[in-house]
Formats: sequence, C-alpha cells, structure tokens
Amino acid sequence: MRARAFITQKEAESVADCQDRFSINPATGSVAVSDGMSQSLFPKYWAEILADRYTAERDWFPTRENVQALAPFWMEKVRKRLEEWRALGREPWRSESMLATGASAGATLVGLRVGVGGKWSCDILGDSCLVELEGDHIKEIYSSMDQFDNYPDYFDSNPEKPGKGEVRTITGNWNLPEEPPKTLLLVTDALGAFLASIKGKREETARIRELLSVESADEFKVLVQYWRKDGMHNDDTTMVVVTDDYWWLSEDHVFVQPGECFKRQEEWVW
Amino acid sequence: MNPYEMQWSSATPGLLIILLDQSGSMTNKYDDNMTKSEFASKAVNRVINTLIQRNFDGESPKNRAFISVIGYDNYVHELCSGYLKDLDAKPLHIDDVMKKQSDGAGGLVEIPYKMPVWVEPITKDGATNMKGAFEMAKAIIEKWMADKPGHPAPVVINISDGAPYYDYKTVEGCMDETTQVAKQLMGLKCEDGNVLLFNALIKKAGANLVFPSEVQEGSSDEARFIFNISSEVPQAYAAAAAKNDLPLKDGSRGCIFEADGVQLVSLIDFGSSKGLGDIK
Repeated sequence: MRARAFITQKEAESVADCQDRFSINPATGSVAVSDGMSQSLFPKYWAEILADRYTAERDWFPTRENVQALAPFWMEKVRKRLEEWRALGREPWRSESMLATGASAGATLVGLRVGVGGKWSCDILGDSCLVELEGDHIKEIYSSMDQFDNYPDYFDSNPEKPGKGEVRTITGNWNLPEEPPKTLLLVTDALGAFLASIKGKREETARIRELLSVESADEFKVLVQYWRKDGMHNDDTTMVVVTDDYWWLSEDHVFVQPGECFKRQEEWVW
Repeated sequence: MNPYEMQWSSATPGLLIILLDQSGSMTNKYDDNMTKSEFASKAVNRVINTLIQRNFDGESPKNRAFISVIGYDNYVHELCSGYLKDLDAKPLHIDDVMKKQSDGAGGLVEIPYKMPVWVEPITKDGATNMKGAFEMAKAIIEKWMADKPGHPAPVVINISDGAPYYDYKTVEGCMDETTQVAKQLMGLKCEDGNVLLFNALIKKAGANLVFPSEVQEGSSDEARFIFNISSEVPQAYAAAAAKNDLPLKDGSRGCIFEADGVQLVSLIDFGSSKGLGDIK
C-alpha cells in the first residue's frame, strides 16, 4: 500500500494559517484528513487531534462519546499556546474572552483504514471526502453531506456542544479480481467539490491523470493554483492518495507533525 | 462570476467604509439610556469586533477586510482605518463588560467579556457635512480600485439622523450637492460591480421603513434624498438580507428609515456579509 499526502494553504495566506491536517500511520494501516473550520477557535489544533487519534489505533471510531473525550487535549494545547504568548508579553485577551463565552473549534474528518486482504472502511463527517477512482475515472465521491456549502457537518471541541451531522461509514474491497486498478483519495472540500463538478465531463480523465501525476508538494501547489483559476474554491486544500501497489505492514509509526507536512517529500509506503 | 459574488478573502480583501454622522443632533437622546451618537458608535464597534472575531482563528485575524470609519460634523475626520489585524491590535481602549448568555439549562448567566472600542461618541455640536464624507469615501475607493481592480466591490454604509447641512447653505442645496457626489460614488465600478452605498436613518419618531422599492407619494424631501442616494440591493446579497431579517423585493434600495438598534446592526452586518458568510 502506498500513500502520498499533499497540503497547501489558501492563496495569499501563510503556511501557518492552514487549518487542514492529515495523519498517516502505516502500523495501523490508517490515514486521516481533517479540515478545521475557519470561523472557530484554534481549529488546526482540533483537526490535528482528530486526525492523529483516528490513525493511532485501529479500533478507535469517531463516535460522539469518543470525540468528546478528546476535548481536554484541545483545551490543553490552547492553554499552552496562550501561556507561550504571555511569556512573550502578548496578552491574549481576545482568545481568553472567546473561551470564556464557550467558543470552541470545529473540524471535519475523513479517515480510512485498510485491512489485510484489501478490505477497507472509511468514516466521514463533514464535507471532507473520500474519492474512489477506477483507473482515471471518478467512480464515487463520498461525504456525510448532500451538497457542498458553507455549513458542513463537524465535530466540536467543546464537549457541551453537539457539533453537527452523523458519521457516515463506507466500506470496500481492493482486491476483487478482474476490476480496474483502484485509487482512493482523501480530500478536503475545495478539491472534493471541484472533482464533483468535473465528474462525467470530458475533462475528467485528463484532470485525474494530472492529479495522480503529482509527486511533490511544489507540483501540488502549482496544480491547485492552476485549478483555482478554473473555478476551484480558494481554500486550504489537502489530498492523500492511497493506492494498493503492494502490501507490507511496517512497525514504524509515522505521525505528521504540524509544519512538517509542508516540508518533506510526502510519501509513505507500507 | 456574477456581479457582487466575490467573497472577501486574504487574497481579495473587501473594503468597508462606514460614514458616521457626528453633528449636534446626534447628541440628542436615542432612548432613556443613551444618545444617538452613543448608540451609533456602539453599533459600529460591535460590528467591527464581530468582523474581526469571525475572521479570527485563535492566533490572529485574517486580513480579509479593510475598514475605514469616517466621522462628519462641520468637517470630515478619519476615526479609524486598517486591515482587521491592525484594528485588532490597536483599539482606542478595551472595556470590561458583562455579557448575558444561555446557561444551557434555560436560564441566562452573565459572563465577563472584553469589548474593544475604536469609535467614541461625540458630545459637541456641529453641522452635517455628509457631502464631505462622501467625497472622502470616493477618494479612498478610487485609490483602492486603482490598486486592487480584481477585488470585491467596496461597500459604504452611511449612518445619520437627518439631511446634510453645512457651510450655512440651505438644506435643499446641501441635499442636491450631496446627491451629486453620492451618485458619483455609486458610479465607481470594478470587476465585481459598482460601489454599494447603503443608508440608515437613526430612529426618530416616524414610521419605520426597511429596504423600500419606491418613494411613497407625499414622502418628505429627506426621505426622497435618502432613497436616491441608496444603491439597489443586488441579488447576490439576497441571502444576507434574509439572514438579517431585512425584507427584500425587486428594486429594493439599501436604506432603512427610522432604524432601531437591531436594524442598524443588521444593516452593517448585511453590508459586510461578504466577509462574514464563509465559515470554511
């Protein structure tokens, strides 16, 4: 199994502003992508916690109860960040004030787990998507929503808030005989919506070939800039490409640290 | 892309100019608790804070809008200007206030809250140089459009309690001159559309009228003036109008007569909706 991950931020924003996160763990055969909601507080911390937790253990599922149990980790990260600011002489009055009124983070999640024999299952909440490709065609695009809009389903970092929507679980099998080669993409909403807009159109094959030929962070950034001119929404954009080239489960854990994902050649093989 | 559909973003920030009447009549009572000037300043501060908060991710606000607040009495004054990050960093002062919110069990609790202040109310008498304010807004917008032609159409919101009056001219003469400048302002055009000018007349005693599509026969000269200097509300703002409970019909002009507190905040929220709507 091979996974390649790419991430880029909104045009005119810095890498540090990017609220998407992904996590890949060969030991558990898991991959996850989470999109922190812009109009929430410290969403990238929450996205990172969700993505990392999903890939840490094969038997952890994003139920409301399990996600609520992650809330203290978000709060701990936030408190630590605010303490760092105070140590630097910056008074975080706005963040403190928002926290006092119950402000929290929201994030979507799409997580994929692949098992021995090529069976896979995917859990999705929000408009982050699982895209199933057959060769260079889009077979299906899955999210937990009927359409892409500005009000996606999400998990909330405040355990007293319900968040929005229900987790959708999709299952499949890679190793069915006499089927075309399959690729799974985990993508955030801007790319998911753009792929949905080209599905079934003449440009579909060429676009998918172009997407699958991406091999570096720079190539991905250029492609996204180019596609934005063709109508893709200017948003943080993440893609993890998972293919079933071969199977080999490694003992090594690969967790993606914040910032690290922007620097390295994004490929993991297991 | 259809007119007025561009969202305010870091790549294409929006320009919002708020013109605030600071004439002597604004020191009159709005209600038992505050003057019209106090009420209008409070609304402006609240909306700037909301815009910053909606674009704040915990670290700092994204520069998705440039806001300029211009006050006018005998003269025209820039009260505050800047991108969201600049405004967040430099309010005049930060007040400690108590905010009521749900306790989750059907009741309300008061929570201490920080409220930044960028615009102070006035206490002195003065004239109503609305024409000068429109001229300053026009100059700012012309420069902005020349520098940033591919950005969203700028929005101007004028908050007043009456007709223009300055330089000891007749009110009719002032209205004519001001209308001419307002038309020039609304005639400025960028790729996203013409400049949008919305007006709020703060509550006096008359009947409340929101987003009218025509001037009723027998309406006052002041009402005709405000109607004539208000842009027609574009279709792309229909969702924002609905969200703010502002009734929209074909040909509606972006003006509110005898606006109460909720309506004034709604109009400013509505005018800045391209910077508020996109939560993703």
